[in-house]
Amino acid sequence: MSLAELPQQIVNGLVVGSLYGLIALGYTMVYGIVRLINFAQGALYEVGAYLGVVIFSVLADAGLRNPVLGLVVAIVVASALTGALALVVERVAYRPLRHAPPLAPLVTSLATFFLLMSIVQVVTGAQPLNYPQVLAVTPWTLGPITLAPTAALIAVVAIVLMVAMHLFVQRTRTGKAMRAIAVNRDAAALMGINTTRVVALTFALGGAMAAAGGVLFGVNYGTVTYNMGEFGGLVAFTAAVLGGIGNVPGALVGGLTVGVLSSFATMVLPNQWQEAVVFGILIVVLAFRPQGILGERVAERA
Amino acid sequence: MVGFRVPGSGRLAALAVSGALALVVAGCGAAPSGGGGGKAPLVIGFASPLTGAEATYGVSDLHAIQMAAAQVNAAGGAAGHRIKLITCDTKADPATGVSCAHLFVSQNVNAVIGFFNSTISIPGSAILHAAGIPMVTGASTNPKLTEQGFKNVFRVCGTDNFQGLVEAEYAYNVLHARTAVAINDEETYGEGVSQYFAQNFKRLGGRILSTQGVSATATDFSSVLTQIKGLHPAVIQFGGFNPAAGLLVKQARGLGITAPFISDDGTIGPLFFQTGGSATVGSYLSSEPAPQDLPTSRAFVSAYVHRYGNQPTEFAGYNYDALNVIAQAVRADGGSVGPAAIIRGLSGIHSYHGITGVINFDSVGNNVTPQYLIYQVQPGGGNKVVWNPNAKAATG
Repeated sequence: MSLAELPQQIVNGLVVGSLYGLIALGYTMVYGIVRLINFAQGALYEVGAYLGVVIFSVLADAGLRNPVLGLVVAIVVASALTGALALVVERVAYRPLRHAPPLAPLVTSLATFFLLMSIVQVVTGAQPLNYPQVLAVTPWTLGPITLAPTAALIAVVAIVLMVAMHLFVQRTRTGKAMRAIAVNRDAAALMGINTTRVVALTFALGGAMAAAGGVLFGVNYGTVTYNMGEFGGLVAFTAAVLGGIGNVPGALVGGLTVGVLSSFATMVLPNQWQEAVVFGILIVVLAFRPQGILGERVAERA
Repeated sequence: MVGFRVPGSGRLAALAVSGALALVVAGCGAAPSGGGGGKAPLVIGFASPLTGAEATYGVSDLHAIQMAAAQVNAAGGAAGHRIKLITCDTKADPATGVSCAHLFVSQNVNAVIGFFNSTISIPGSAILHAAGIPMVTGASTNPKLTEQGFKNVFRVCGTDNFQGLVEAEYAYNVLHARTAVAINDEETYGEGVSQYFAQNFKRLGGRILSTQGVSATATDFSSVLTQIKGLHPAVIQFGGFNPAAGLLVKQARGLGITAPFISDDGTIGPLFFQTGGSATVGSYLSSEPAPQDLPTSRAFVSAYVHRYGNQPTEFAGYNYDALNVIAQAVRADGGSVGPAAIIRGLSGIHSYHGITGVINFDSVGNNVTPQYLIYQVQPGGGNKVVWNPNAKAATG
């Protein structure tokens, strides 16, 4: 372990952490409003990443060569399509069960997760797919820190999207409606809020954020695999809980914390211990602060 | 273990095990019945992945063997015995592959060529050993196959250990590297190659600064690469497969690490460039020669292309040699096709000039003189031979 590498390890952690945070947004927003852990989120992240491959190849066939424009189109279109898919998930696997005991929608969200991942596996034949090289590989160097342009892109886009989502929830009318439903769904409905529509929109936004994360992942790492949703989904869920589930800035804080912790873990122990160390620390943190870093203890609803 | 593995294919293959065993009795019908008269046929079982992600290799190997059998039969058979092939599709799945071995036993074949994947060859060889049937492999390179003490097992290709040796020689003698970091993907194949690289690099006088294991399914290697950057190695060696290899080299360049990257035949192939992009250009990869890169394989390649209309893949030449070595063993041991006689004949193979080079079996059945080359990734993703250790003496 050498302290000279500390700044670089922090940057590495912040890059992957901001990606986890982006996926965690979907978990945290859906949970905050309807008290459901929507496990389909991990699969939506994967679907978004694969849609990115399709969009880039369509753009290449259409002769669009501008990498920045291509990237924007890929993120926007993949997010829109995945958001639409999340609406379908909400309609089929959540809405019919909204009055059922809470375990029922939890199980249907897990079922959706496996269903979507299996579809990706069958459609692609379990072959890893590759992203085109969108940005140059030549890294930027700033003192002790070296950063690939695509890695910087992940952090910047992810944080911008998370801040935008925070402002949306806090500053807009729809955001206010979301917060109202989170406090009391029945009361919100009595106030004239179309709760069905706002809940559906929350699912869609969560899916869209996950898809943006998937495309950013593909652009940075260059390859997407049919089981990427498993690990990505699990770590993002952890990040959401660590940051304080139900809390939008908590997703960012949780994501960055998990990212930096896993980066540090390899400095102290062999690489194979990375996940064990991260999840071990999580147990300790949650034992002392079960509501998460920013979260507030949510009173059980009657 | 043979070079190209598709991540997740194991799981897919497991799902695909339907119990339906594709059995083709290909008696090389196109060939004349040879000059065998009333002599019993020499029945050879051939098992490899003929469907699924690795079918490209399995089918090419089958074509090479069918061509070799047709040539032997056209020349009157092996000591008058006409060759008859029984083909079995392993689907690259160990359970299916083992049932191929049982099938060969029940069909009383005289010899077996198989099973492409080392994960199948190892359990398959035990079944054939119990039945006393000789087995020759032209693709399974895992050292363990010939470490089981089975007298019936022979290997015309090299073992993974040779790759570690050739990589170390290239790094030390040609690149003049004196320090290295050895990374492996914690799987049998990658760990083996990386270990032999480290051993030989140290034996030559180099220093291994660090040995790292990374998960074959991980995608972010930035933490481990940041540590490696601080060590300033002259080369980075990786034992394993794609996409890990492509991801590693891409992220290493993204962190500003410029040390040459050396890997193996688990990495060589289009997926490396597709995953790592331009960052992979200039990387060095050890591999058994593609048939197109061996002067001794020229006639084989042109006959193959003429017959099948496409290029033979990496291990086709070894499988061609495997069949010819069995025919040679029959001729050597008094023309008997009994499995015991063929095992005796194979044990006696010495300085056999095959199309992949000279074949000499040692006491455990390994070819002690396999050829390996160092390839370099070119702009655009192609591979070019940059070093041939066998030509060392000639070039000084």
